[in-house]
Amino acid sequence: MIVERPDRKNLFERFYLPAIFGGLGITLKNMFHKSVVLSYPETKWTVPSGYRGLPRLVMGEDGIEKCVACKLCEVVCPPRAITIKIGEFRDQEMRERVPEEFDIDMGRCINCSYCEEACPKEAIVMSDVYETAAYSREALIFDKEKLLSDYEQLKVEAARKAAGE
Amino acid sequence: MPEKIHMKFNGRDVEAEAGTPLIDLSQELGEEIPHFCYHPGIGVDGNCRLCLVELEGAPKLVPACTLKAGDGMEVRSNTEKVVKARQGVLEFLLINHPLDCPICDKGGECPLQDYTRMHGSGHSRMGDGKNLGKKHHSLGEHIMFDSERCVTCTRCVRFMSDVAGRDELFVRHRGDRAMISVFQDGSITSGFTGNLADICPVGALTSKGFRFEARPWELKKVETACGECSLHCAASSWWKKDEIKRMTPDMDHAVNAWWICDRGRYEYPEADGDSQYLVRRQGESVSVSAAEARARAAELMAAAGSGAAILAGSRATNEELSAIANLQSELNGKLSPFVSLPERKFVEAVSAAGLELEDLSALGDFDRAVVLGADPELSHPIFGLRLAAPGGPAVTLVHQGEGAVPSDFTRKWERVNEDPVAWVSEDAKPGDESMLVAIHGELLRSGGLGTDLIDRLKARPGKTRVIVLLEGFNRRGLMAQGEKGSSIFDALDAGEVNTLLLFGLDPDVDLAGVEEWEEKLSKAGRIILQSHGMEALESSAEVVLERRRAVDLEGKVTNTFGLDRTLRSWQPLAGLRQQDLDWLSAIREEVAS
Repeated sequence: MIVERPDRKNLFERFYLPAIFGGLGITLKNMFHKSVVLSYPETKWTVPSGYRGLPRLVMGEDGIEKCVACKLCEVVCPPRAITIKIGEFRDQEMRERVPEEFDIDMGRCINCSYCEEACPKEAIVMSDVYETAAYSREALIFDKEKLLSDYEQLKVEAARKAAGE
Repeated sequence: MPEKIHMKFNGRDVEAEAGTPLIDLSQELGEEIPHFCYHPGIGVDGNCRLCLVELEGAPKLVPACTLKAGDGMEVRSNTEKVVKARQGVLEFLLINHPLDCPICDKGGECPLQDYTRMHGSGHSRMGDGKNLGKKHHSLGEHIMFDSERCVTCTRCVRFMSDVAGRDELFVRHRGDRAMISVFQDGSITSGFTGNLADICPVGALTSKGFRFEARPWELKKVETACGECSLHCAASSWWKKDEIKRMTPDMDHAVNAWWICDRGRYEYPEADGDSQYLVRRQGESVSVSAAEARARAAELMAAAGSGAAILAGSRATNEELSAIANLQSELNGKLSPFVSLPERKFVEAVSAAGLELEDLSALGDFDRAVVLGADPELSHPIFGLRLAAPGGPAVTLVHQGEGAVPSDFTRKWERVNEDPVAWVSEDAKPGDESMLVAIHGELLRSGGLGTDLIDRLKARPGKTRVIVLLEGFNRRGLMAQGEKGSSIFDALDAGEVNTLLLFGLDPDVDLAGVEEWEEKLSKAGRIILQSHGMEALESSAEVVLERRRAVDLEGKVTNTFGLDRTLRSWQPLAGLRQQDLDWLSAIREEVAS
């Protein structure tokens, strides 16, 4: 079907110069505003509090991970990114069970934080790390040691930042 | 036929058999009354007070476990008063319960967890801390005890004394310090300890074999039958991916009631390594895929024609045995593909005389049981367990050699350390008391007992039944195949067999009567091996096929008193893996063409 569109522009508008100058005016105005663009990756984004980044494991004060391998995060994880193998721990009377292996496939993780909610031990938390790029899929599978050391690293950085500010 | 009664349960009109325990009835009706200490197989104790219900006419709440259905009864298990009582009981139980469900093996299938979800309070009113107890404390070979989690329902204590016939557990101390303990040296020795982990309604007694292996929700349950002895107890295998994690009993009055022995529970063999399929190439054994090994075996059998033969034993299902009989008739109809069964004559005579025991559900009807040949707790443990049950017969055990049980197994068992054959001929035990005679298969296999015993038993005035406790896995199924032809060993001696398929042989049983069987079987030249415990032939075999576990088999087996049992494997696994049945029919097609 052919639609006929009447040309409603008047003579003044058909010059286009007013529109061009109007646009240039906006550009000029913004030149004196503060820039909203981050020059990522040179400048990193500061995430708001409560941001759901990649999950990390928490180290307890006794130097053992808080996780007791109850597998609730594994079963609640919608994309099944978490794999846990249970291990037995006999050095302390009150700790029996630790994860022998704890892998999270960050390529699968959808940052939903269900694991954090399900955890009865507050042993898994969402960090503010949002960068997931890697050169291979294998590199995206984080094991227990990496998940724990990352958390320690983040704690150190957070402390440094807090001290600097 | 028990009398039918009419009663009211939660306002519903219910028809039931008179005397049905109320908790069992509530389970049937789908409105289960919560309970800890009651177990249908162990009986009533009435200590947990969780099953309190309102009974019309009773001034106070009454425990449902002690009630039996009667005519005109009116019971309510969901009123405010009942729920309040339950909440009170649970609050008391949870005072010292550690709530360590995240690390508890029972978590996910725990009655205490379920009832707490239903009726428990969301917070604690206790100002004081919890009593701390012993955690991960080993009780015997298979059981781990956690005293903090225990609710002292004493199911375990009563199981050991009333069902397993050994007073090994007791409650030490009283009040909030009450704790399950072991007498003397601190470990339990019964051959049925695995059941403690099943009956414990909390995570206090857990199985070491399943400790920290998996959470229940990860597991896939497959209802099958146990393959460790010829009773074939109803059991379930629990799988995580393609790994079997545990075996648990299923209730079946005909064989095992609610129980399973530790052998059946823990001794299913581990999967063999990677080299399950071997093929001989240029004098070297090479590991190959299943399909390749099977194809090679089929090719060898087809090439040999009438020189090919099969020798099958008792580690096979009935379907496989039929397929083998068909295949052998295709190859060489004159030879029997099965090992010889010296006990066949006796077993057939027992059924012909109508003396065979139908099942194990009515052992209490007998006044006396005579067990000949072996200690049943070692050879067929569940039979021993059911004989020892309260109200069971007085048992006379006649055997020489190893016995599992210390003399206090049960007060009724009389032990005679004599040669059973001589004992039977001298002491025929006439009389009109009802008697069960259990005969271990080894006595018959070695030809010790003849069929004249059956005539003597038939002539007894009292009720008499015979159960033959066969060795091996499926000897009874093998027997049902009938006699097929001449023995393969004669053909081997005559050099008529050049290719031999050894299928499902259990050399300790099936070849026990054959001297130097390794040497005799080697005469075949080319051997295709699919059997356990024949490592001696493995190095010279042309093809070695996977040695299967009972938990991987699919099909029917016949148990020692003639009951057909169905074996099931995990379906996805069974679907992926070509079953031996398909492979046998493939060979048959190849041979026929």
